Amino acid sequence: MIKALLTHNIKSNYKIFLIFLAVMTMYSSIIIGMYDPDDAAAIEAMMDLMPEALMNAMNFTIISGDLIGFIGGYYYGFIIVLFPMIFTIILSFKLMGKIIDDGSIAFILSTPHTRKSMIITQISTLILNIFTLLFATTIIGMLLTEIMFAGLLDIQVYILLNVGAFLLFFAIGSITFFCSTVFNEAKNAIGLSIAVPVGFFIIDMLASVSEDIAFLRFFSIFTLYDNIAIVTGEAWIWLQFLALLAIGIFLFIGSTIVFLKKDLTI
Amino acid sequence: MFSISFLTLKTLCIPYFLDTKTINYYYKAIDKAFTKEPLMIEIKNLTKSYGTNKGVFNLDLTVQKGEVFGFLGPNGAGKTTTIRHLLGFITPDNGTVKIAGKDCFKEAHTIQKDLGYIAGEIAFFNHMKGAEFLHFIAKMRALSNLDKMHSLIEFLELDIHVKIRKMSKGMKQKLGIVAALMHDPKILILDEPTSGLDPLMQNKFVELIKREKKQGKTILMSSHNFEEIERTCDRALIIKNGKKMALSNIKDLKNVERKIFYVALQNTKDKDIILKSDLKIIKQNHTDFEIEVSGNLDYFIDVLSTCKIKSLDIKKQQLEQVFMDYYKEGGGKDD
Ligand SMILES: Nc1ncnc2c1ncn2[C@@H]1O[C@H](COP(=O)(O)OP(=O)(O)O)[C@@H](O)[C@H]1O
Ligand SMILES: [Mg+2]
Repeated sequence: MIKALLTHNIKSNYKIFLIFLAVMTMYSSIIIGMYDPDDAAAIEAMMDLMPEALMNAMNFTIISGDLIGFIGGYYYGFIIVLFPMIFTIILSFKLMGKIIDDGSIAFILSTPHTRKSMIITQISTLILNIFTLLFATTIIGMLLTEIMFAGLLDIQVYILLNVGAFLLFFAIGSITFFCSTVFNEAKNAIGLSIAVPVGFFIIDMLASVSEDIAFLRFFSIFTLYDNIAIVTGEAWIWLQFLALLAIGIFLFIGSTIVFLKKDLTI
Repeated sequence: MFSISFLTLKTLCIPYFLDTKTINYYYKAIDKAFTKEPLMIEIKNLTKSYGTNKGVFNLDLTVQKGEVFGFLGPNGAGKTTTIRHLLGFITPDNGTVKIAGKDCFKEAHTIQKDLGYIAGEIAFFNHMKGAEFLHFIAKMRALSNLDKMHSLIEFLELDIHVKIRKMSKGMKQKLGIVAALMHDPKILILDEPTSGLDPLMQNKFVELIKREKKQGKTILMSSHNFEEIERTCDRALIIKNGKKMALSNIKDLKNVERKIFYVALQNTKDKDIILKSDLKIIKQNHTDFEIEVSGNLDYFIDVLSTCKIKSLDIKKQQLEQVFMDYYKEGGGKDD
């Protein structure tokens, strides 16, 4: 790990970090504010007015009438997937794809550091950013529920929802990072690191719309983050967590191996 | 010469009072002391192919300690490709590339401690200010003494409080020069370092290179500008289509250099002076001449001094022409 590079990365990316944090905080406060502990049925009735297909596609489900069931369905069904995904794509590209494409990586590699310590620093920056984003939104969510509905949140399940989300983006980050590292040209690096997660995302939405194509969900990484199962307390979510962790470790190591041998035409 | 006589000595001594091991030890030590400076850059039989005539093919190149070495060739000749190997950015298809005895790919990070590099097409972190960028590079190098950085900035008259994105090409080039030299490296690898600099700054850069040379730095500098290499380098290698065309001392190269002058006469009657002289006339249009001069200029000046001259101009020669001439003169062998 190169401290100077890590500091540089953080300085160069804190603005988009803050933007994503602000947007996610906004959504989480709106969703939490919508909850009405006395009349869960009323919310359900309101949701019934919306087109069902749209609700399904966005994974807006009311899992149970309590607070965790409510935000576990709304926030952790859609917002938690969409925004960190965009954040991860942008950050991976900035950390690897861009500097390889424009050649500015030459300045980093012409200082006395190995490629290995360089890429480990970039991977750490990505993971640290994802972690901090999800950690901050977790804390903010807890504060908001505490202010509006003191004592109503099932903290244990809430933390599990967020641990799962972190692992999901650990895995997605490894995919986008891998794409950014393997390709020399920006159009390939950015093309694939957008196409793969967005493709998974679309598959996941389609699979939720109709039972006929529900099998499609086995082709999407988002299936490994099952917010409903986490809230209802299924035991097999741990297997999914483990799978996400394994994918992430595998692809981050893969990126490193590729990068150590790679010809850089810079 | 010394080694040969020592060899005789060695043969004589063995049977009497010294064993082979001791003899060899002294032999090697003495040999080392009497050979030239050690090789700082050593490229052996390097091949990296991107297709026919694209890349580098069977290239040998050595640069000694304290030498300024020019690497000349037209665009697409393979200069940058060779330099990428030296920086450890790419691996050879074949051959070895070493700096100070170390493999350039495997030990890139160790080599970088004493290396300064200016890329052919420099890409910066555009969102930063010049000063921010230089401090970042200094931190990456764990460089605490910034004296050289400040003196370079002053010397090049660079305004570092500007966002890099807003800098002109020349300013960016200067910034690259500061970043490459500020840690006072022993070896400099410069890929077309003066591109984007105005003539005044190009002169300043030449001065800078001469100063670095005086301090004993080893410098490899690529260029497609013959003049620049002529002014700074001790030796030059000429490359085209990835293959070595010539390796020579700059002095030799200068001797065969052909210069073409445009001469316009004031009076028609002076025409005959030129026509009757031994000057090589390439073109003539009334009183306008194109005259080729190789090597010494004395005779040319002598003849001209007897005429009234309206204007005199020198034609900038393409590098390719210079080394084609050199090649024709039989300079294609190693010195
Ligand atoms: N990564 C690459 N892929 C394909 N062709 C390349 C690559 N790198 C260099 N080349 C080709 O090799 C030749 C030499 O290029 P280069 O070393 O950049 O020349 P120079 O620096 O002398 O102008 C050019 O024809 C260039 O197009
Ligand atoms: Mg070049």
